[in-house]
Amino acid sequence: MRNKFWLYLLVTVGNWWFWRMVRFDLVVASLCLLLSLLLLSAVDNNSFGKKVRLMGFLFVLLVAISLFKGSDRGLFITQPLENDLIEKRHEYFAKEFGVFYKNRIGIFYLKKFNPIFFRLQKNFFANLDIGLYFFSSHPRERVGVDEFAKYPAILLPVFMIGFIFVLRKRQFLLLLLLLAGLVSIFLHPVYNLGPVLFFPLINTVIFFGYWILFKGRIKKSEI
Amino acid sequence: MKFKDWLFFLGILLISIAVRFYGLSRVPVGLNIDEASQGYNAYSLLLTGKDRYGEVAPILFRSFGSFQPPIYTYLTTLPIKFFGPSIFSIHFVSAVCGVVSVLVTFFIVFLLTKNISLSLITMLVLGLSPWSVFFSRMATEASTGICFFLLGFWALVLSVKKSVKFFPGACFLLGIATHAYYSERIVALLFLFAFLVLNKKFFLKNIKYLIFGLVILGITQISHLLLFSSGAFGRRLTQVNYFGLDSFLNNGGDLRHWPLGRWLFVVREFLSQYTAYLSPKNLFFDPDQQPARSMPDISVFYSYMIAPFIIGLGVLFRNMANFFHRLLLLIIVFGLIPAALTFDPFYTLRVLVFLWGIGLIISLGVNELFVKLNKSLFLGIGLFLSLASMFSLYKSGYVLTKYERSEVYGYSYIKLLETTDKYPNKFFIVDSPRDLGTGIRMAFFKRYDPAKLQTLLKARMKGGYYNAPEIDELYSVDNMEVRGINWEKDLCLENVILVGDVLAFSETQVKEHKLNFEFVIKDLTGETRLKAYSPTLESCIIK
Repeated sequence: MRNKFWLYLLVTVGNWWFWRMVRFDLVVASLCLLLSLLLLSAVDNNSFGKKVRLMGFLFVLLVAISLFKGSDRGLFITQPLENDLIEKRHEYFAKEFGVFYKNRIGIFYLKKFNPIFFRLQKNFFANLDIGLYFFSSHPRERVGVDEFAKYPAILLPVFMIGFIFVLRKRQFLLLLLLLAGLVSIFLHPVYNLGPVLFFPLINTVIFFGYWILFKGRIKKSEI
Repeated sequence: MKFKDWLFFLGILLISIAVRFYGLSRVPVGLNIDEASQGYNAYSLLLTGKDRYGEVAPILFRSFGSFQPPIYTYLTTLPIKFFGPSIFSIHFVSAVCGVVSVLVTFFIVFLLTKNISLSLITMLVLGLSPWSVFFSRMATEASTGICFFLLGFWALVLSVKKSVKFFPGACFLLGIATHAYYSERIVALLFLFAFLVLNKKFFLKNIKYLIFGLVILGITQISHLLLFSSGAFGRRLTQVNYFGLDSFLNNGGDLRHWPLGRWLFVVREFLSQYTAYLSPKNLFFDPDQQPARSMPDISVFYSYMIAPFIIGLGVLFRNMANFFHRLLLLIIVFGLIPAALTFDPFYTLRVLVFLWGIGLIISLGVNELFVKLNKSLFLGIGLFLSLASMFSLYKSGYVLTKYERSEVYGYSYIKLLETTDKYPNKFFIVDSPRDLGTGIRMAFFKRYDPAKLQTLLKARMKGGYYNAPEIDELYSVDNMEVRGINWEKDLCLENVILVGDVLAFSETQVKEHKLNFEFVIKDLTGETRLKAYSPTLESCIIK
């Protein structure tokens, strides 16, 4: 257990992302550290017990801070350039779809629903990019974004091994991933600390990768 | 198969055919540079037995600084023979390959799993996948590449499941796949090797067929061996890889100062390129950055497919003893290697085999839902999502591609041809530095005599056919010359109309040179794309 604690700590602080958080926002860094350690301990031992409430509280706190500092305020605002595109597309759709488009529902879809739905999806998928965490988004760097390295690229194979283990034996972590993803649709993808809600989850995946690499394989009793 | 299954099978097949062939002559609205090159070469082969440089039956087709794999061009001679040289004829082979791929996928999955629901789901997922439909509607060698690869894969599975006699056929088809597209040179051979290793006991028992098959594979590779030292064989890779010193010095960053930095740079590039294709963001949301390789607003899969993808991954990794799952993993792992060796980010065309594998993982996820969910609920959701997918395809792949991507396919130059017919006594100089495909596109649509073009291009060819191809080719087609405008000489020519895009003529240039406005060509969005001016006597004096 003692050895494992050091591994939890190594995984949590042994990356550039954590130290960036320490540099720019000590509160977020502390919350991420605590949440990461708690999640690692709970998931590793497969017992949540009383930790759930504490983790839930910390997660909600982190969500609140993230929303306060990095919420996407442009989610429901259509920019002029975007509006031009919508107006042009209005013409194309009217020509091609005819009466199927030229009605309230069709126009609502193009002008109201589609732009907002597109932005929500953009925010959701922005964080589901392996390159964002291990290669500063290389080779598809985002225009106008100050990309920063979060984890050393050498940890990528460890992450992959851990992810396969999670897929096989710890599927509930995927639900947590989904939860973080759903919250992040309201966060601006260029928040200067990165997608902090994913920090504890990625650490957990890397931890399993390390554990499998060091131990060869995890015993059935440990699963 | 039950009657109900046959109905589903036929329904999915019809949908797959419909989304690939509907309006194939109208969308995309023209031909991109590679399509025009393949189309004209096929036309030239059909009429003269030689390509546009006058080379008899080339092993690779020389084109704009590189070489095109030959299978697509040779196959395109057939639709050109039957339907004439048109947009439809050039796209036809891809569309057929797309439908064949959907069919073969069904047979492969059914043969490996004996699971009819999974086979039908896979067929539907592939039939409606944006990447599959999109590349089936454009003339690309990659479509023939994946088609021959899948046919070879099917024959391989038949050889272990039905009769080993299929093995030589599998080797032949995989050998042909290596001539169909560059990626398959690596993927097909690696996959065959891994398949043999997985079934080594079976093939060692049937050693005669194994040797016979490998000999056939060897025979298909003779032409590659003949070209190996010419430069043509590896030309494309040398153009797009990041192994060179220049690439390291330009992009190496801090690694330039590290010991073994160049090696670390190569490893980092490989891993980052490799994982870019595994990122859900790229697979389900961000389209390929190149407009010629993507549809507006839609990536290679629909965004909702991320849910069955994650479920499918779970199914895949929970049962790795399953032969089908192992083969699927091999496809995923090997399918990315060719693309990861190049510097282009998320270049979808190079990973069609991998995308096929991802489609199968999504299908595993959908099938899991089929097993676990109430059947009526599943069918209801399935029907809704299928209709939503078809709507998305029509919206992005048909409507938006038609309007917003028309210039990628040279629409304004095709319209220019219609306009030039109104000026039979004029000579046109078409400025082309920003669209190298203009000349060959003109030659194709004007059905320019291949023998004349062969004489023109062969005379300008430096070195041998398979050595150092030029990037910029000069075309003179009837009353039209496609090249950069020579502001010294061209202004003094009589009866000339100069045509160029909006960057070719600035307002001050027009005023300074006293050019006479003739006409403009607009694209489908109504934007001016080409302008035409004729020089006056004053133009010649002023210059």
